[in-house]
Amino acid sequence: MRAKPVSILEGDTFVVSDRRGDISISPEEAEGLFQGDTRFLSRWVLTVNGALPNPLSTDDVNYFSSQFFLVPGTGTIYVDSPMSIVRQRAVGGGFHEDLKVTNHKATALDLDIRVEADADFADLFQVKDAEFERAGKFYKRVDGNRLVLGYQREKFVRETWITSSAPAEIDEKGFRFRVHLEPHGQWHTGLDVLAAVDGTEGTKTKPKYKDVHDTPTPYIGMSLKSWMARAPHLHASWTDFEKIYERSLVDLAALRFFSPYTPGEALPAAGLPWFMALFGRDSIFTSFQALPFVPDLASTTLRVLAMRQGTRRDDFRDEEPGKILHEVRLGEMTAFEERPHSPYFGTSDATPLFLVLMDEFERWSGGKELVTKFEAEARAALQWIDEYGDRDGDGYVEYERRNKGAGSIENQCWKDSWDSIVFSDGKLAKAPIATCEIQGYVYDAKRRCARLAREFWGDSDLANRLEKGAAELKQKFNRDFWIPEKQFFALALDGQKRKVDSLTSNVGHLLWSGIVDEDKAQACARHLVGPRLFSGWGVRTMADDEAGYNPIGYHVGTVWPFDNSMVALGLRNYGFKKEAAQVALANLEAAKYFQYRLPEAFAGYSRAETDFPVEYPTACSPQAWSAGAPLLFLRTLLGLEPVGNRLLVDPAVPKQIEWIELLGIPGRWGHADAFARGQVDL
Amino acid sequence: MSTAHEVFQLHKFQEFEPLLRGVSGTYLFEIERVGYWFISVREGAIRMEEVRHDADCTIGCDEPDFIDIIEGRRNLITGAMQGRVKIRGDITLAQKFHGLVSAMIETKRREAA
Repeated sequence: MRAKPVSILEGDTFVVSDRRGDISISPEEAEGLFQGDTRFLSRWVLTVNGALPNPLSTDDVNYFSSQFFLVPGTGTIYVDSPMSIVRQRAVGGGFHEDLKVTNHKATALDLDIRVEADADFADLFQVKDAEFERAGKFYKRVDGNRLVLGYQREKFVRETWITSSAPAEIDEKGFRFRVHLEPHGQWHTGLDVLAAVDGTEGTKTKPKYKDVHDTPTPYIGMSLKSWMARAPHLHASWTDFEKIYERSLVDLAALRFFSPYTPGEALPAAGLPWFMALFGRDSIFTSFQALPFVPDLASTTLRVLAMRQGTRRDDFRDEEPGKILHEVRLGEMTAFEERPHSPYFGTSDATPLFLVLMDEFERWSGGKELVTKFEAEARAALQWIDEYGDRDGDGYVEYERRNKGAGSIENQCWKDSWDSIVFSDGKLAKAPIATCEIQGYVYDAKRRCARLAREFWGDSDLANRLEKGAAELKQKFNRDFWIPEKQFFALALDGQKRKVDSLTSNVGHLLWSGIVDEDKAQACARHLVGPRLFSGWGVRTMADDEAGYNPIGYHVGTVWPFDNSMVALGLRNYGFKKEAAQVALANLEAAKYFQYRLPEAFAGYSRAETDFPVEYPTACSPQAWSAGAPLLFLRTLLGLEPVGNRLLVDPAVPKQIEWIELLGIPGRWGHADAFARGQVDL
Repeated sequence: MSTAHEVFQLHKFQEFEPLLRGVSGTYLFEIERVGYWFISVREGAIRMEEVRHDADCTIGCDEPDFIDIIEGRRNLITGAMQGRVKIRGDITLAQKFHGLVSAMIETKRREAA
């Protein structure tokens, strides 16, 4: 089994290497230096006297830097290595690597040190699908003390520039250093690898942080230290909770990136390595989860999504007026329209969720300006829901992709894999599909926008219409989606308006949205923490007795921490405090087994079968909305809700956590503190 | 095939274009080896001059690419990603550019009718 790779990132630049710091193309791991969805370095291999050194120890110092301690192999454990090699790497617009070699012997050493470099400039889509046919031409040249690796297709040009601070013999394959080390002497070089020509205006000549700090530090709007200092401080009797919380905040900091639409302000990318890009749904959910902790993410997310809102009907991009985007990519395949991500609008939930976040942002922050500024965009989103989202006028938002080509998405909901919307007997649902949770989001969006219309847009007619529409939707939904004999809501209505009758975690999202009639909520809660859905580590995406269930199926049996965080809040909103605490605690306990970092998803095996949560093979980590999940669990456990200009604290903490204090919760009240004692018996 | 001059002469904008409601700003089109056109948009009202002025958003490309964009055969955003189009300044305005293009196409359609 291959050792886990080492990943460091800053913004949309990230480096994935093996445990010795090398980068090479392999079918198992997507190694490389990536920026703007392009691999700017696909080979970076250090050899000493023709051999690969062995890793002793590797540290992710923090999210943007790592160090590798290496020794040359001696062939036997009985002979100590005569020297040590240290690689220290920091990412930012490329990366900077300090390479140090120390002679531990009392005699001199002569070394032949090589660093081989190459770049395939592959689009991340090609890396993911292992497709390497290229339409452009590669070139390499040595410009003085710089190795240039390049790729050109028509006017599309990408270049990697590599320089060394120590003198080197440079050829098109890399750098060679002939080093003479005196007894106990040390040799050093600093290597700068730049994504120099990356498709933006101008050319970079040095890493972002070079000459700014002695120790390479990312040039990001807010440093990690001040980011952490601004967030509320958590103290808990269960110290693992503190570690999980800190890990979440650090990961959210790591996943921040800057959009040219909002210079200097960050928003969350979805996840490493495949989703270091703007995703409408992911950014909205993450911002929602993080609102009581780091509220700036929400305002930037709302502004960027508003500015890039759909304005026309475009079948290739699945764009419609008022629709909120799904995904933005910057690589070659997108540039040449071999993929529709410029941006791609293949999502039906981001638009109502955008409205939900807009209202939630105002409730927490009191940020009237944003709500007023984007009134036109909010109205356009509401119009999209009724005109385009509801394709057939039946009152429900349903989806069917218009672009069926490569890169398009069949299921345009959060469970967006091809097999996620499935009947209880295992048959796939056919489009157009109206998933249940999207109707819940629409209901919530309309109710929330009614408040915004009344309080900020001065349009009580609109408010009345929205409230009436929401009430009608709720009544109709509880009739059409409810399966009386099974006592839960259908996952979806298919193209023939048949109920897709698998039991799924989606019912938890319905609780969160408020669309569930009171007399049906108890049954939903019972299912969510019952043995079919609840694994002991969390709520599965699909019940374990459904034909479509697979404990390691992406959306059909795994446990998603983000999903669970919404489920827990939904349970809590309907008064199921104990059940909410149960879901939250199970996930938080699982986090301990993932070095305090909840992954995108983990397997749905029962806790009775496994003493630890089992990894899902290709889960992204860190993943933004998984990093946000512990924050939302914390909000749920503490019962944090804005009420006017005050923060309501109504804790329901399990007894396993003796006490919690969360200090400095930002909001329209300034800063507030919350204290809780564990009193809930699970 | 049209030239940039013909395109700009042909599209006599109406005083107010509903597709550009909510958009305010100035564009400068730099068409390589052809010339400069300055377009001002104020809440949907459009004014155009064949002159070089500082603008909130500058869009530069060669003439064939410009014609392709204006006539809807090429997308501005992917054109920029391909290196065919250079966008400087307020990228939000560039994003709204297709509203301007739609206005131009609509004007052309009306005139043809």
